[in-house]
Amino acid sequence: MAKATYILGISCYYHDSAACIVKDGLLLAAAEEERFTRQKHDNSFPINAVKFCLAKAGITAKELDYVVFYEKPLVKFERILHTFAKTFPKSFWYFYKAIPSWVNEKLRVEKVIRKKIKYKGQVLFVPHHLSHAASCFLVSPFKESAIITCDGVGEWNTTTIGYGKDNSIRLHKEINFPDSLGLLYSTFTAYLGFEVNNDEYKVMGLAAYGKPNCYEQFRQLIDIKDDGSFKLDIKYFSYEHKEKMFSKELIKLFGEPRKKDERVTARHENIASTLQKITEEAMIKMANHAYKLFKSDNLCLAGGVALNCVANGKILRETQFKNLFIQPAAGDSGGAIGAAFYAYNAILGKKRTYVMDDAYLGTEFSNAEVEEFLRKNNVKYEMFDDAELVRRVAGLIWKNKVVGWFQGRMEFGPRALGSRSILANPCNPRMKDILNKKVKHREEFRPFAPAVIAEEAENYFAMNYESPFMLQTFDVLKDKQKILPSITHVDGTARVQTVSAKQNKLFYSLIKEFKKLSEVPVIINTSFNVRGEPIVNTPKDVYDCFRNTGIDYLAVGNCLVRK
Amino acid sequence: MNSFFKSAKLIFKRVHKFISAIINFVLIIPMYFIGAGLSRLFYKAPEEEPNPVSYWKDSKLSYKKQDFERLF
Repeated sequence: MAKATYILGISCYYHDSAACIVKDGLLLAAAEEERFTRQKHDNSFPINAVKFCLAKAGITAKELDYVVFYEKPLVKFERILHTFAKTFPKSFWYFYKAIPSWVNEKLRVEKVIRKKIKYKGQVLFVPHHLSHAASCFLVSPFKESAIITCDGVGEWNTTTIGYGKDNSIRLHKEINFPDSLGLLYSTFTAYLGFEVNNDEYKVMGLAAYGKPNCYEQFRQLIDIKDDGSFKLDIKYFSYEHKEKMFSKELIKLFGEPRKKDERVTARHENIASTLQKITEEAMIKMANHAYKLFKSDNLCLAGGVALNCVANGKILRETQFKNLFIQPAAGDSGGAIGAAFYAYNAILGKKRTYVMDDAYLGTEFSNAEVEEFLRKNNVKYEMFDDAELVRRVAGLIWKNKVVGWFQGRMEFGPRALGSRSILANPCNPRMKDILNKKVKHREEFRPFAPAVIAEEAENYFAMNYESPFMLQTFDVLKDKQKILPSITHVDGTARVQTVSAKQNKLFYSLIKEFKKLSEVPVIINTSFNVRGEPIVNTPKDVYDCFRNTGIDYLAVGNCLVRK
Repeated sequence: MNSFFKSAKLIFKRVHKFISAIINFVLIIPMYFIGAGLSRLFYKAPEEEPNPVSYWKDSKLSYKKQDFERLF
């Protein structure tokens, strides 16, 4: 029997470090480092995620054939040095802060990899946007597809258009730093008093409340051409030489920025709304241009901007593409997957055999492990078989209880998709407030998302295809908005996750059971964490979160714990 | 004994951090002002066409296997 080929993919040092392992073209495991270290968006070397991946594959680092890093460190460093020189002497403090980490670790990434995981084989480096492109196309169900990647910045590229066929990918067009749609979005995330690289989705949620009436001001910041290419007027931005994203010029144009805990006003809502509209305009024009170039029915999207589910929803509706694929970890963590698959399929020239149908690639704990933890900590629990567990949990949700749901393998990517979730009743108009008060403590303007049985989705939402990774928004059908008040956003949309039995049998059965009680095949599905913390990973994380919040019940494995 | 080692470790860490900060400062200041300053003197902004039809540039990425073995 031929020896299996093992490839380890790594992404780190910017945000959301992650690792994955591919065996003969099949993705065995993938996880973000933050879940292990409990530091949200942890950017350090993902040693815990690597150890988990190796353990899941049942191998040691010696048995790896390749380790693949998701970008070219020297090219990125060249861009950083170039920018420092360009903005001399304003860039001094930025330089002073950045250089030690580059000299000590980032430039020596090959040595760091070898030392930390005790690996002696070959290390490969795949450019950042090629990793993004590979992370969606090579695991998509498409034989050929147009590809758009768009994020803050990689080495030099911020946006690319490419084309993939079989196991090959070519990036044809590019836009380079400092012109960046991702950094434009992050700049306004900072301007609106939120945290960069963390709260962009809050701005997206806020956008629905406002009117896009700042268009003229935005036109001074960004010039968008008919083909979706764009250029920023850099005088309004300071991210080239400072950690602060915007300049005094931007304040002159838009007024004083919002402070962190300041009240959100209509002005902030209108700015968010216009920003969202500008982003959608650029993305839709870009998609139209990609269609014109490649005449493909299929589109793959990747990069941090591909997590903008409102724009994603519109791309398919407002362009000629018939099919859209976005991988659940579309941001930098997914770069690990792209790097590994690019090495296997494109560099080694192996056929594609894997389609990413679900995101359940992380850690898992057996009932025995869960019981051992509960017993050690003197936690009272009841044990049920799967059928009885879903019947009981559905009943609790219907009685407006908030239930923590910790089952099977953890999801890869920022969304909880029914493995590490907090579940609640979407029919209760007060449930958003209850969830916020008891657990999430989120801003009032942020919506909660629904999980719906795949075959019934079109009866509740304006959609005719599946959305298993919660990466697109759809209109809630007018007559269903009153039935589902807690998941309907102010603009009548919802960020839908469709659930099929093939992807997650237990979660599917739970929603089916809930339907028997409520006549609605939908439940609220929000991530199992509290504000500012990563999604839970172990039974201990789960129990800590359960104990310190107002969650009423906890279904962890087949054990049901009552508060 | 255990607490002695803990204290010693803490003191060592702080001294190490302090010395690193001094070294960083002493090295980084000249590195920045000589390196970035000189580069700035010779820096020429790339010439750009005023109001072009498109801002897309052709990608020049190489796909040869040996290119993926390098850090650049």
